[in-house]
Amino acid sequence: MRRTLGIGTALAMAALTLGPLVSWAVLVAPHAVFIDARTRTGLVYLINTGTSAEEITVETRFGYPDTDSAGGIFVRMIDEPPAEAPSAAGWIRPFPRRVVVQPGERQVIRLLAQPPAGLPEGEYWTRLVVTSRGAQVAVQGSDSVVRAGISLIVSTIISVTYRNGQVQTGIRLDEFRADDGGDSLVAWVGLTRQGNAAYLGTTWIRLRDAAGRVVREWETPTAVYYSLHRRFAFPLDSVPPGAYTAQLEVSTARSDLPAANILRAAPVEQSNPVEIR
Amino acid sequence: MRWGSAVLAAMVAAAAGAGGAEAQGRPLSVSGANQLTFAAVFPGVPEMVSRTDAVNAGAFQVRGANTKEVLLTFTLPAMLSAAGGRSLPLQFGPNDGGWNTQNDLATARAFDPRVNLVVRTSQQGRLFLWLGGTALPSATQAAGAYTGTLTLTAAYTGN
Repeated sequence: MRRTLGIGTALAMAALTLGPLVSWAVLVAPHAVFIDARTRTGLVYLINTGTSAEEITVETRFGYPDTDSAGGIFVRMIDEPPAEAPSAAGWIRPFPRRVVVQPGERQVIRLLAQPPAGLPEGEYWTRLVVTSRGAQVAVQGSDSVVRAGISLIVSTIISVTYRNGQVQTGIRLDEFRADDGGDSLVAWVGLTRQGNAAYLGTTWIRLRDAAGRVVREWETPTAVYYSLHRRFAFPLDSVPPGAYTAQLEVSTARSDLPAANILRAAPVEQSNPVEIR
Repeated sequence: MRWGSAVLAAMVAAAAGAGGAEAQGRPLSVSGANQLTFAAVFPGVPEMVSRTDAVNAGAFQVRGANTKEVLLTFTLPAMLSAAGGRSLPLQFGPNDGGWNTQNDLATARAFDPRVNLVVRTSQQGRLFLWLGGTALPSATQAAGAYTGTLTLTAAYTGN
């Protein structure tokens, strides 16, 4: 029965809740999958470390890291990529696409690549979006009480890369500047990928004092699919005022990816003076 | 099949790739630890829950590789719905999100949950998030069971 509440019955509108109940999300491993034209297969593991069953869907969508006008990074998802886009979303298929994983159990998702005939050499990309839904929140209502609950949905996005034939990568440094942003070192880094494969590397920014000693160092795994124009803000903490040098290094060193999947390229470096006030 | 923690850890490591002894990135996982709760809602009176409200704020935890940059995106419901087409509007503001590398609500830094959050995990690979918000019941808000969906999307930025 629908019933309108007056102010006098307002207290009856108690316990309006939304948000997740305790529900551990599904762990998705690895966080980057590489498939070559020889095997055309890949594996992803879903592991439910929680205490309730998780209903999981797996889908492929074309996307890649990009930056906005403020230098913030995000994953650009394109549901209908243009024909010239190196999208593998339409022909890398996960099996199964929908599964229920019980607590403490794991599920293997097989990725099967069925590229179109005559696929040109190069690298093709998709994102694997793994969406898990925990147990639904039980919502109970009555004539005089408002109760509400919301189900938590967690989506984990990982990269899937398909390599066909000869692939190579490189990076071009378009911009590097660093400045004292008050309590942080603000650095702008512009990078454009070269070659026919995404650049998977690491960006280091080091702050050196007048004697050349590294007083701070920040490291960020970096993926450049087309180009990035990133703004970094690193805390300066107790760095004393003075004249420093901000040194940028971008290389294909990665500790979190199998070495066999790293495409090596020449590093780029640049140093700029910066005054910390 | 059930997995003990040691078995699970070994299996995760194995699942992370075929790199053998090479260090692999620890996969991300996100969990909800507490519901965002509006304890008392009065018709016509907005009910705000602060992100610093230890009892009523939503709480989430992210686990991943140590000190790695993570992109987190909330997809927030504009309203909750009930049978018969009834709805209860919700509002989220620029300070309704809080994050910390420690499980310490008091020292959490504010963020706008309506936009992407890019932060680094702790030395132990942890991140803690809190979420507040405001329910906007109308003066004639009807009783009932209201439901909605909150989505939290997580990804490493370096892949």
